[in-house]
Amino acid sequence: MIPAEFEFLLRHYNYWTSVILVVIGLYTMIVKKNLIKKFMGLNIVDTATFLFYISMGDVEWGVAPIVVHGEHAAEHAVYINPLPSVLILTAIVVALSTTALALTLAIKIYEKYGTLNSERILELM
Amino acid sequence: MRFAPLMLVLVIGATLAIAVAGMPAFGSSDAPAYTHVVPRYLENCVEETGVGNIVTAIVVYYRGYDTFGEITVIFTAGIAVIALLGRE
Amino acid sequence: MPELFEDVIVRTIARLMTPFIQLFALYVLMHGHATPGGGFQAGVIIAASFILVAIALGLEEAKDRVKQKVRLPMESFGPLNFVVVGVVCMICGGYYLQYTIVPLLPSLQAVGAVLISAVEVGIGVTVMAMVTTIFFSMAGGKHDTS
Repeated sequence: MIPAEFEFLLRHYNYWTSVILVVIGLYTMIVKKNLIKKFMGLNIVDTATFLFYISMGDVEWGVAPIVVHGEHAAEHAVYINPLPSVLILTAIVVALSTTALALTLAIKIYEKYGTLNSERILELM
Repeated sequence: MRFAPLMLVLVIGATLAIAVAGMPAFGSSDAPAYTHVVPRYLENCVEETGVGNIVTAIVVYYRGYDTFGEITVIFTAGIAVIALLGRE
Repeated sequence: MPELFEDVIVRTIARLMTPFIQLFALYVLMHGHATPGGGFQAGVIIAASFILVAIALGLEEAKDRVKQKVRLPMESFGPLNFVVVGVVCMICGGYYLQYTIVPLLPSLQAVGAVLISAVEVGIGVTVMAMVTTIFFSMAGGKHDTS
């Protein structure tokens, strides 16, 4: 028999995973000096947010929210929540755009200063 | 030197963990996010839009203006990359 | 761009796989209203096939397959298509992007499905052209990185 506190932890394990990923990403963004590693931390935080939203929309025994007509139609099917998927589709595109722009700026910074170390760039400025 | 960022990040993580403990359980069908507006989408989507995939219907029909902004975001990002680096 | 990956297996497999990846992307695009998929996913898959060509067969080969003068109108096709469809809906008496108001086909559902597919195609074309252009710009090798 599982104790009650442990069961509480188990029923929220997707949220704990998101929190751990946010912590890892924020630590990477603060501590690492290399700009590319900072962008990697930003992407980890992005991914944590996506995981948080998508897992929030899950329903037990739910199927993908696609309505099928005819003989293949599932009787009394439980659909998962389609709204978080839609919001995260938008968020993924925005994350892609910001990453592309950030890497472009990193290329320009490297052309100008010859380094990607943020402290070294501050000295050279 | 690395101690202050680690403490800051752990405090943020603890705050998030406390906030997350109040969320509905994973996979629960009585979560507030699932009981307010979503049943309307699930029931009326095919009659109103004619599209079986509810995610596509919400993306392009119900939230069409949002998707227009989204395609503008990726267009603007591409323009900015071209402006900074030049065409190949 | 680094040295080409001179391996006959990699080059042959990349050349063989590319049409199938693009065919799969077209399937994802055109069945976006009945199966998981849509414009964004299809555009990114096609762009990934061109990136595979650029990595395995060289950047010049990839630029040869999707030329700049082809990509140039494709980049701005999606937002323009979106605006045109929305304004057509307004001309027919509905709100902006209220597809089912357009008296194109007898049934309301058919009009919705056709116009939603049209908008998805525009989105896919723009995402494909933009991701490919971003990759080519970054990998261009024109920059002085020494």
